[in-house]
Amino acid sequence: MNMNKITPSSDADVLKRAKRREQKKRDIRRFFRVMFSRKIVVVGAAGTLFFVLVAIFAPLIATHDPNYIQNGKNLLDPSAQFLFGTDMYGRDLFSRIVYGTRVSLLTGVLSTLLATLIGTFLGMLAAYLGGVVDMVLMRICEMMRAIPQLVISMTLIAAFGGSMMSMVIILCFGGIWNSLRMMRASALSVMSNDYVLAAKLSGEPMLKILYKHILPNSVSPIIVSASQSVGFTILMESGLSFLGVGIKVPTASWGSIINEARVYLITNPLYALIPCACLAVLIISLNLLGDGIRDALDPTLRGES
Amino acid sequence: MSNLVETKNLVTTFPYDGKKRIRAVDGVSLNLKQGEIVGLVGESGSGKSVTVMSILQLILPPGKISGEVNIEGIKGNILDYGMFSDEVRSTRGGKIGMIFQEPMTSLNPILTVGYQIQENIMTHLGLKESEAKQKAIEMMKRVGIANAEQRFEQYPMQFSGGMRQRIMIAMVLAAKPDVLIADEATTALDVTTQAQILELIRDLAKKENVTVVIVTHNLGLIARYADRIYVMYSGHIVESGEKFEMFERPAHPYTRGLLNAVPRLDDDKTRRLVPIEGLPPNPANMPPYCKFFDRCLYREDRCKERMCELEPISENHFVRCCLSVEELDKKRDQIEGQFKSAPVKTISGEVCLEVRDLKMHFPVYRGIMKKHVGDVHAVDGVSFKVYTGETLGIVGESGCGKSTLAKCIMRATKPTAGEIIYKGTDMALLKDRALKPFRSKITMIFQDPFSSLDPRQTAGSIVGEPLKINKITKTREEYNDRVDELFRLVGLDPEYRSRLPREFSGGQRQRLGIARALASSPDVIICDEPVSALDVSIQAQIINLLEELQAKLQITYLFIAHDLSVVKHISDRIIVMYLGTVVEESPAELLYSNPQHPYTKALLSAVPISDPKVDAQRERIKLIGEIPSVMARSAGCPFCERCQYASERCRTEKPKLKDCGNGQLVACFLYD
Amino acid sequence: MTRYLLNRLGQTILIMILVSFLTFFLVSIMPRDPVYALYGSTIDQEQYEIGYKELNLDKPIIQRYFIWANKALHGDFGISYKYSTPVTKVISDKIGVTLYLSIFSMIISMPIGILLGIITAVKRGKWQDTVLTLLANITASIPSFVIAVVLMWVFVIKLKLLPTSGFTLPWVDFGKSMKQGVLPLVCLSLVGIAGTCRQTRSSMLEAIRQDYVRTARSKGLKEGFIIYKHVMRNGLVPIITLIGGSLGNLIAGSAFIENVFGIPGMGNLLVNSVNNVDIPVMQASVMLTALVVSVAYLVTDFLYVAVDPRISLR
Repeated sequence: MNMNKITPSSDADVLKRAKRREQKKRDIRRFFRVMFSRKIVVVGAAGTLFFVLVAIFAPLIATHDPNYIQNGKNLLDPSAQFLFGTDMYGRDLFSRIVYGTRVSLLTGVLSTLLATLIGTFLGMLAAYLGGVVDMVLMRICEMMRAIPQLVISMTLIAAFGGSMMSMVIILCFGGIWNSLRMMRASALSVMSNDYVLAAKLSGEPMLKILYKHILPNSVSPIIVSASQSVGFTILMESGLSFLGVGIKVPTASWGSIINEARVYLITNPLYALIPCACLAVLIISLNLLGDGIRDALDPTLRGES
Repeated sequence: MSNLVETKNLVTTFPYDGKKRIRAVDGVSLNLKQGEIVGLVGESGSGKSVTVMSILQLILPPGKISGEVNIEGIKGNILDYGMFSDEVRSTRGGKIGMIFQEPMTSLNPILTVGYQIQENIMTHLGLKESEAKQKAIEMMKRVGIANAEQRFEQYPMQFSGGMRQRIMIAMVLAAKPDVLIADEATTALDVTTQAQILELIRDLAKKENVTVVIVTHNLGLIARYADRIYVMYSGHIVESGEKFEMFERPAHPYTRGLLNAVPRLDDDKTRRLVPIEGLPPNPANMPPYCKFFDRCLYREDRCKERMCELEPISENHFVRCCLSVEELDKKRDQIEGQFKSAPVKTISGEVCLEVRDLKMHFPVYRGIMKKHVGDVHAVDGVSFKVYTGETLGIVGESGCGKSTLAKCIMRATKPTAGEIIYKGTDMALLKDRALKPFRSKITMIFQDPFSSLDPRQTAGSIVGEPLKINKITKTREEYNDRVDELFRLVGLDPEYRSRLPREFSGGQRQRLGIARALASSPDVIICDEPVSALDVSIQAQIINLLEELQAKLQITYLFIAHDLSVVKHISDRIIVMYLGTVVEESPAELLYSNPQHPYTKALLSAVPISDPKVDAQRERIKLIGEIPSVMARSAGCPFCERCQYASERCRTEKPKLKDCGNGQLVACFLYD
Repeated sequence: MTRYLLNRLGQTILIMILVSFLTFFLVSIMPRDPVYALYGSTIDQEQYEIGYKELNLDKPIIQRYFIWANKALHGDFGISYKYSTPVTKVISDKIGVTLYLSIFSMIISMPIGILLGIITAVKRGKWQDTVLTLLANITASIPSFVIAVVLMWVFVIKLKLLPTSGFTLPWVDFGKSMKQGVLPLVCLSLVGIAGTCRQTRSSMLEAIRQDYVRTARSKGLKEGFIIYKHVMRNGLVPIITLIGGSLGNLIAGSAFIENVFGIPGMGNLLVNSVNNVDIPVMQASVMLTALVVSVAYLVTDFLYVAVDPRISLR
């Protein structure tokens, strides 16, 4: 072993830091290369980006106030003035759909984020504390598994109303349990590694082990599952709105637009079909993107052998 | 005698990073003759398993096989037939049967073992189901499975690992193949089971005139069981020949290196292992000349000029080396003259750590109400002393409680009863907070170099972690200096501090693990199977490092392993454990030359020595049965059911450790 | 094995008790006065007091829970606010319809989904796999009500092949029932097929990777036989566990389909009860759904034990 070279430390430090940065850059590049190695993922990413941009720049893109009722101009066909026509009350459909993007993405992303945070925390707690806490949390998970999320969400809406805020919380409540189970399993498997035992045996306090070793090593599966549940949450929100128990009118949600529009399917098919298409494309894009993230972060989960 | 199987220039490639392909097997030519036992030996990544799988075309796309494989009775090159063609299928199982490494996963868990044997018979012998069943039961009896009729209907999970390998043997031999390939078939098994299985294979093969290929990394097994040997390195066969010739006159520098790197049971106390430095070349970046060049002690400039071929040096002895045997032998004296002897260490008479009557019982619960139905006595009254600066080896097969013992001493778990006395304090039952000062004084090296290092921490912060936790270094500078010092101590470049564990090789990772254990300047290090996950050549590096560190820093080791040769090599005294109890304690030299306990004798005899001449002269004790389940313990001596000397007394009364002179202690009524 | 099954049964009962807690307390915080809801908002103070006592609202909430749970155990969930008839009667009309739809579509979607899943797994990497997997991914992503609306537009409005809405049980008028049932069943099944196909594929690929498949190949068995005997059985065992979950999804999913096609089922009832804050109906619906799903999970586990020797041997 003649590797025992001694190098001046200050220069070496700078060099080291540069090397680390280089390494990080390479890692990120590798991440994107694997992620987009399947062309279909690029399509998903493009679709997602499109809707995200629409949501951000909604006020610039929309041609009208989405809630302004143009008297006597209801159920118009698409025209230069009303790109997608008008709805049953005479509101501009194009603008409503543009603003609806905000509702879908905001509720989807926000509630998934919240659910993931809470689920991760509780999952770690269950794995770390074990015993009674673990048992209680697992029973709750099993209970939530027995009640379909749609059913529990409807009941909660009856109790708490359908504002945007309560919608986020209700959808989040439904999503917590999945990520709790995920995190618990992941934490338990990380905890079985010798490096956790090593940290424990060198006297590291458990909270620090959780933060320093267990959390960073569970991040990948959590991100993967979160990225895949955004689409599902959006589906849930639009579904509830479609059933008329979601976000309350007059806020434009794709689900509720479809709900209003299907009565006019004979006369104004585009009224329903356009939001249908938007919803389908958004969720498909999100799921494709999620698959790409999964490929990049967790190659073992990939469908291929 | 004609060749049953013959490969010519067999090449197997796998895609790597897009368009490139790496050659896992790079032009292998070998032949198998009727009735011989051939050993195919090499370290991980040498391509030995891929070679045998390629012969059977078990390599799935995107892997590609090319070259020539000729099999007796089949016209032309079998690789020209498709991998699912009738010819290839009748060869697989019918002509060449294969036993794989993992006994736990190689059998289908949801089909009965009987069916799985029967299936092979029906495919290749064309028997009807009832006849096949008779035949299957007969085979099960022949491989030593009692109650074969009942066990026919059982599922793999109802069998132990050794028993499953017996089922595999029955399955393969039932179809009357010409060749049986055992691909690391006994690697996952305990030594005594390993000996049973290999002896079974050898006896059946000799009786039925079946050719056997033993694929392994273990030189000892080859020395004991093979007739002819192929040595593989990086996809090449580097040397081949008859067993005695090869062990007596190894020609290739790699073969010589391997023999110098493995510890042996009959090692002299002063022998120092000679590791093969460096690593095998990256398969993605193979040199166009001898692949062993970078690690070769005999290399010369002309080696780089061309890729040498496998050439005969005498009848049946082939070597792939640019140097002639005469040149190699001439260089040998000069090279081996530089080998050092083991570092001298000093053992003081002071007791560093004492364990008294330590017990670890795990309760077993059943049912909804979690009724307590019994205890597993993982560690059942273990006592010993360790002196400062010595290495105490703890050896035993799976289930003997050695790892639980280590966890108890580390206080990763709280023992049920007993005392662990370190420098006068009993820490067996201390609370976490009170344990803290001891944490830095007793540290641990783990078995798995992959799971023991956090993949997201840099090497530097892994090694420095104990420094921070125990607040050993005061300033940032002091910390940096200490981490650098630790890196150098274990032979790593401090430059590597900012790398992540995945950028290190297995051996380097184990060095990091050692550096971490050394960080808090401990008095005792518990080494739990520290080299069992490593290749022979790397293993020697780590063993040497541990010995050097001990001599330099006066550390006390508790060295736990299942590999008796390794334990014997590194230890001063050895404890032999069986089912949670110590059956024998003895100075290392005496354990080999004069074992006392019947179990120790059997264990020693199961371990082959990688020198066929020495090995052939040793007394062989066959052990009956397998290690009983942890739940079923006899009231008497734990070994009584498998012991040929067992008397009535052994079944009812538990023998205690008794001194029988020369520092040997034994727990057996034979020595009363 | 019996011990395992008893254990699972006990767990199911525990879960149902937990669900009953949740539904009772959740619903009891809802912003609606049960007395006015039941007797109308025009009653006077005295009548209110009587009603208040009758509904046990003067007792502590824990005691009320036990009274409610006791009655619920005997099939009495109180009186619907909206229909003013016993909840049991309201629900018994609807649950049959939903169960009929869910179970029928499960019978359709499971075999098709499994078959497609096996095809994609066996042909992995080939065009059949690429096409089917992409289709399955897309179908699983599209909300079922979107599919329903689009199918309705195509088949009912454009092609005029099928009636708009309504529902008839097959034993009442078979022809009519089939005609009305085609679209709802197709919508429900499509989602099920996509999900089952994806799960089967990954489970089969997992099984193909196992060492025992390599052992089977080393025995020279035919590839088709290996898939049939060694891969399929191991690959399909995990699919059984999906039955419980997918029944739950189907029941929930049928809410959309019922809504689009105007089918008087549980889903519609639940939506109405939420819109009308019909607390007793809501409680009963949640309890009932949870019961059906839990029983499905239980049956799944029993099946699992029958198929996989590893569990019964534990």
